[in-house]
Formats: sequence, structure tokens, C-alpha cells
Amino acid sequence: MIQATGNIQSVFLEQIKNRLPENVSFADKLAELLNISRDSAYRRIRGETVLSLDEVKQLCDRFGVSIDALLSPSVNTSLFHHRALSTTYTLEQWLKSVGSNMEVVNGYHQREMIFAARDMFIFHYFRLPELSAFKMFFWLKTVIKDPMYANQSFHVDVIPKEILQAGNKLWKLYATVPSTEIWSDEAINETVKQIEFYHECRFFSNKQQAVELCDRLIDLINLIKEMLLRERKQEEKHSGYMRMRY
Amino acid sequence: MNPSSVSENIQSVYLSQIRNRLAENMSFADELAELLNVSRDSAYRRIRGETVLSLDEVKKLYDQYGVSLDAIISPTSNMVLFQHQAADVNYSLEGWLNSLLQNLELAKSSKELEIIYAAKDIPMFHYFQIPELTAFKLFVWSKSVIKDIKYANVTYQLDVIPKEILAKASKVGQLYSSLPTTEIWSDEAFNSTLKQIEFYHECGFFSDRNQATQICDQLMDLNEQLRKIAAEGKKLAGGLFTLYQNEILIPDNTIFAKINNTRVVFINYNTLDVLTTHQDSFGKKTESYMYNLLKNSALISSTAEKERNKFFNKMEKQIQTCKAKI
Repeated sequence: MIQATGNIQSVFLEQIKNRLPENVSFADKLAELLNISRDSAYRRIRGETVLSLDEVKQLCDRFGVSIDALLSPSVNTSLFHHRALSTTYTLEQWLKSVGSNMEVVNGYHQREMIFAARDMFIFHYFRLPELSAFKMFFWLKTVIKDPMYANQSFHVDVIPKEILQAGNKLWKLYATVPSTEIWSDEAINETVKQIEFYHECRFFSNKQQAVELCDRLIDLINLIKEMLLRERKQEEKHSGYMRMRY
Repeated sequence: MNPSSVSENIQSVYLSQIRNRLAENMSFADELAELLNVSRDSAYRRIRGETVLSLDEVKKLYDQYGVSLDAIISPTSNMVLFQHQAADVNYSLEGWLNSLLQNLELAKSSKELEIIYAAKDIPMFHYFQIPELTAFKLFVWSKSVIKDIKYANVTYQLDVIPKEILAKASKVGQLYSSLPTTEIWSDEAFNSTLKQIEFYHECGFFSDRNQATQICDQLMDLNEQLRKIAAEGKKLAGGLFTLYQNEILIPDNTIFAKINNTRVVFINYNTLDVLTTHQDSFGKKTESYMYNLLKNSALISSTAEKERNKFFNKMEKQIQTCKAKI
């Protein structure tokens, strides 16, 4: 019989086979999973019968194999993992997940981040609790529109302590990773506009809150200046260096 | 086995998603037959589900259309498949313009079309209305972004970019101008071009000072043109133009489109490069983000004459400030 199925099917089945314990017969397992005879399973393994996409799905579901990854290496496609804040994917989960990414980066001796964007790298805000709380409050209230915050106005303890701590932990992690950051002079524009906007909408409990946030923003800029002067994010030796381009 | 039950569901979902990517006037069976190198009849059997698509055939379709199979097989996954088009030295400006043209033509052929463009910078399509600005933008991209060695020692003048390329860009601009678009801008929308003019002037990348001031003048013309189309709510080639202004969530050059009922997201990165995805879960997420962005924005086209003029006056001032520095 002619080879009907070509290469990818055999690569796919090989990947599945590799996920089985050694003592399990692949043909038996395949027959069982796809609810076909042992003979039919062998024909699929030998490439004489084409696997249907529904069969492929059953195997993917069972073994967590990515078909896209199998199909894509040769062309201009990339698989991305995305985490989007929503009312179901909470800020806490998001912070935790970004944190575990940073920990992976930190697990390597040689590591570097290069950051290029119009806005300041978010981690800097997490350094100061007031700014951290404001940014988080803005995301929750205005961006993802969490109903819990719909009628709330801003004050520092509007964001639970644990979440602020998780944010601060991220800043500390970030501080140990060397980074090269490319900023423009628009880096804090957005945050400044957000403060203005909340002030005009009366989303601050009082005017003082808005003024204090501006002061904290100035503090932050000065802290960053110091970082650049010593080329390190923190005073401790193990902290990551920071270079900045403009 | 009953042949019509062989392929069941996923094959038909997969093929119908590919069909949605084709322009309406294209025959899906013909396209499939050609791509898979099978007869038209065999193509039909695959579409009807009488013949099972092999993974090798799926790969050919995947290479061509980038339709994610994971998204169909495990739709709740957080993995999103992006196609990327990178403008590099191998991937010429012409190739890049062609791919823009292709996308816009597909959009044009769609019966129902929605495009929301969250623009950090004024969509380049608007620059393409004016040849000098087109040439300047393409020159900056070639010289500073792509680092095409052809332009390494060249200074700017209008004819530095080949006529054919300018003509193609103008075609792209025209086509865009005929499509309905909703755009969200901030008052930083001209900034990067203004900074580029200053930078090129300081580096002596203009043949003479006049070139730089002329670009500023043309930018002024563009600003007036934009003010006018915003007032009319219609672009020069007739496409509806809905313009919003947003200051608090500065847009990041993301385009959300609904073409032939399929959600497509284009994300701009590394200045010129574009990531494209058709994954529906990501599309829906982006759609709802965009609608929220609109809610937090002020409509300044057609209505709100005062706000609109304030906005364009601010732009005008920025351009004048830039010109004064030269």
C-alpha cells in the first residue's frame, strides 16, 4: 500500500508515543483511545490510514500536544501565550503569573531585559504603594470595569494589602534583573493624564489625594534618577544594573 | 464505514474558517484544489467531509492562511497564534506595501466591515495621501529602522524613494481612504514624526534646511486635511471616518477588524512589523477592550466642533514649534 499520510502524522504520533510509559503498547493505547481495532491503530501508525482531525483532537486533549507548534516551525507564524486581565482573570493572578515569569528569568545567570515603549516600565510604579494602588485602581475601575470598584473613589487602601504586596514583590524581582530600557519623554504622560482625568471626574476622595499622587510621581522620578547614577536598581550588590537610553 | 461521517466536525470548522479568509469572489474549491494539488472534485470531497484531510494537507493550508488548529481543538487555551510580517532588508518596502494592499483589498471585499484603529501615531495611511510625507516616512523607515544599506549615506529628498513605490503607497492610501474606519488618537499622534524631522535635521540627513521646513509645511497641510475629513465624518475617497480622542489610555497602534464576520487583530510592534491573528477568543477580548476604549474617549468627528478644533489646533501648534526649531 502506498504511503498515504506523509510525515506530519508520524511526527505527531511519535510525540504521543513519547508521552506514554515504556511498558505500554502504543497500538493498544491508540486503539483504546480512538475506539478502533488494533489493526486500524497499526494502519494509522504505519501511515496507511489518515488520522481525521477529530481523532487528532482526541489525542491532543488527552496528551496536551500542540498541533500549531507541530505545523508552524517553518513559516512566519508564532505561538504566543497571552494573559489578559479581566473580571475572571484577576489582578492577583496576573501579578503572580508575571512574577513567575520574572523568576524564570532570574533563574539564569546570564539574563537581560530590553524594554522599549512609550510608557514607563510598569514595575517602577510598584515601588511606591500609593502609585501602585492608583495604577491598579485605574485598571480595575476604568479598564476592566470591575463592578466592585464602580462606585468607589480612590484612596490608598482601596486596593487590598495582599495585592499591593504582590505588586511590590514584582518590583523587587524586577530590581534584581539587569535591564536596558528605552524611554521617550512621553514616559509618564499617560499616568499624569489619568490623574487629571480622575480629578476632573471627582474619583478622588479629595483634592489632596491627587496632589499627593503627583508628589509621589516626582519622588519616583528622583528614585529612578538615582538608579541611573549608580547604574544599579538598588543599593545592594545583587541588584540588577539599569541602563537607560532616550 | 459511512464515508460522509469520516471527517466529522473539526475538518469542516477548519475549512470554513479558511473560507472566511478568502475574498468573496474567489472559489474556495479552486483555491483548495490548487493549494493541495488535487482535482477540483477531490477538493469538493474534502469540503463535504467525504475525504479526510491529512495533517500534511493541513500544514499546506496552515502555511498559507495561518489558521490555528489549536484554537479549534482547544478553544479555551491561552495560546494565540500570530502571523508576523517583518519589514526587513529581504522583505522589501514593496513587499510590505503589497501585503498591506492585500489586507485592505480583503477588507474592501467584505460585505460587513468594521475597523477600529487605536493609533498611538497617526495611521500611516493618512501620510500616504501626500507624496512628500510618504517619501519622508518611507525614507526614515528604510534608513533608520530597517537599516537598508542603500540609504546609509543618502540624504532625504523627494525622489530618494522610487516612483513605483510612492505610487504603490498612494494606492494603499486611496484604498484605506475608501474604507470605513473608527480611529482613536491621542494628542501625541504627530509626536514621533515631529521628532523624526528634528532628529534628521540635527543629523544633517536633509539635503538642506528647506527640505525640513517643507516637510513641516506638508504636515500642516495634512493636519488641515485631517481636520476637514474629521468635520465631514468622511475620508477623501468616501470611507466613513469616525474619530475619537483619548488621553487617558494612550492607544498602542492596535487594529481590530471584523471582516466577513471574522475577527482579526493586527498588533504593531518594532515600529513597522505587524502581528496578525484570527483567533476568535483573542479577537473577542480585543473587541471588548476597544469598545471600552471608545467609551473612555471623546468623539470629535462630525460633532463637537469646539473639541475637534481644539485638538487640531494643538497639533498645528506642535508642528509650528517643530518648524521654529529648524
